[in-house]
Amino acid sequence: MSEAHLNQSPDPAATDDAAVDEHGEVATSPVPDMDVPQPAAPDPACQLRVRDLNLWYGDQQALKHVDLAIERNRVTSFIGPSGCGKTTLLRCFNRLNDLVPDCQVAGDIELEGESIFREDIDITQLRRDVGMVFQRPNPFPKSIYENVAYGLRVQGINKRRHLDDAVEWALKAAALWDEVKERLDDSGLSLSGGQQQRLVIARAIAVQPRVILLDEPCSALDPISTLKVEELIQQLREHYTIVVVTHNMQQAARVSDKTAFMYLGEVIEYGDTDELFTNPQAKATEDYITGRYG
Amino acid sequence: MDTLNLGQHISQKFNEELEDVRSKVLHMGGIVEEQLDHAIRALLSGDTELAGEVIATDQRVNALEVEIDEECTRIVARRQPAATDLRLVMAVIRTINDLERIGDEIKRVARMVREELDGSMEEEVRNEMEHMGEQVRAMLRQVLDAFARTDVQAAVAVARADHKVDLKYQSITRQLMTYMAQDHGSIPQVLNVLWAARALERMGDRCQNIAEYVIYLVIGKDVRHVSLDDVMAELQEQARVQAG
Repeated sequence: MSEAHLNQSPDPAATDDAAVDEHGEVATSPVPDMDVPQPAAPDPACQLRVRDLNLWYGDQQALKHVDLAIERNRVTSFIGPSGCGKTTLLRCFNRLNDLVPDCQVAGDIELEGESIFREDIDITQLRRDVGMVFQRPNPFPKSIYENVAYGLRVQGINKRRHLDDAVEWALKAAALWDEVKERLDDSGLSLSGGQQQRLVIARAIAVQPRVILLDEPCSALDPISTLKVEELIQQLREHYTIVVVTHNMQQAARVSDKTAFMYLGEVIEYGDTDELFTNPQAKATEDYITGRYG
Repeated sequence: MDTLNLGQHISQKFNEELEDVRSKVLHMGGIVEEQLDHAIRALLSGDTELAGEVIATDQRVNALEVEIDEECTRIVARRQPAATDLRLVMAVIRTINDLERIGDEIKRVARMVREELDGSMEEEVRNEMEHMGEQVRAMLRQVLDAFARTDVQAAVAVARADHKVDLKYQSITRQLMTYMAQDHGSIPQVLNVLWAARALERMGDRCQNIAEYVIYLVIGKDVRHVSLDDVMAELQEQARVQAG
């Protein structure tokens, strides 16, 4: 994706939301003409805030007293050994853990100041606001076009012109447009792994989320596809708050602004990525990122 | 030492690689220390043979710099070190550069002994130069110890000692200027002593640099261009936090 895509504004009403790709084509967010829900006005204080979060799978406590403030328009990485709770924490942000039997949660998470556990919350809307991309690319067995348009159709948006604009905009924002624009009717499954993952990201951003959760988004990808997704993450952070779970510490160091190291369900250390990777304060963090047995 | 827990990586090979560069730095430092000792003796005695040996040894120092530098590059490329490991590699790369430059300054003094100085200098000047040489030698020895033991307090002491070397240099300069004013014929000879003093002063600066790298290595703070009092305050604060 060209640098120009960085200029895309999440605010579709903004006049400077046009993005020019490497061929000089202008991509404008199609949303002004559509009934797509708009992200809330930028609020500098807006964050995902986790307050004393505890989570149990049956008798097993998977998260212990987690307190975190995730900053807006920043990339935050969760690192830690397998089973430390990082994916569990990620799945709390759009309440995916609700689907797990015997899962109990105590504490709170606020999205832009409002609890996601409040009784009157619209879970579907929450999952639109907090999009998620999984470890293995999971495009639907539909065309590339329909994969991206899916979320919009679910919202009842079916006007072809609106969908065309939205699909093009999302694919450009996901740095995939140039590779697929001639074959939008091909199956999403016909794409390479890296392209599929970017397609899934396009599907997530087509519905204009506020937060994008990425659960080991590159673990099934080759190094070049990984770099493309990482580059995409860097560009998307201009407009979205991104949370990444990764086993690849170099990836966390490359892409994230903030990093949280988790161990046995606790956040051991959370801070600026630069600081955490050069001068961690906790010995457990140091041992983990330097490959020592602690 | 293993205050850095260098031997605790899951990869034994990585342990060995880091330990290897660390011990090579100390080996290089040891050679430079010996070079300095010989150069000062040659300066004070006019021993041109010893000065020649000092000049020849510089090759070994240069070769070690290149060898350690290459090892550090390999470690960065293959291991992508982080945290203490990264700071160690960075500190080593910087330290060997300064050690090599100290070697160059020593060689400069040795060349003067061999080519221009004959060991004859006023007794007062000789005493001052001997004293300054001892100061710089002590700084180098102490900073290598601080590196070996990752001793921040010792590193701060070395950084502070540089001020004394600077004062001594100023004192020698003033003294030499009076000689030049009194006896114009002595100017070429006095200028050589002045250059030697200048070389010693620069070595002190480089020892101070290495002390700063040791501090960076241990506490993770870049203290270049920071006052030593602020560094001490930071250290005390860290100790206070760790204590509880």
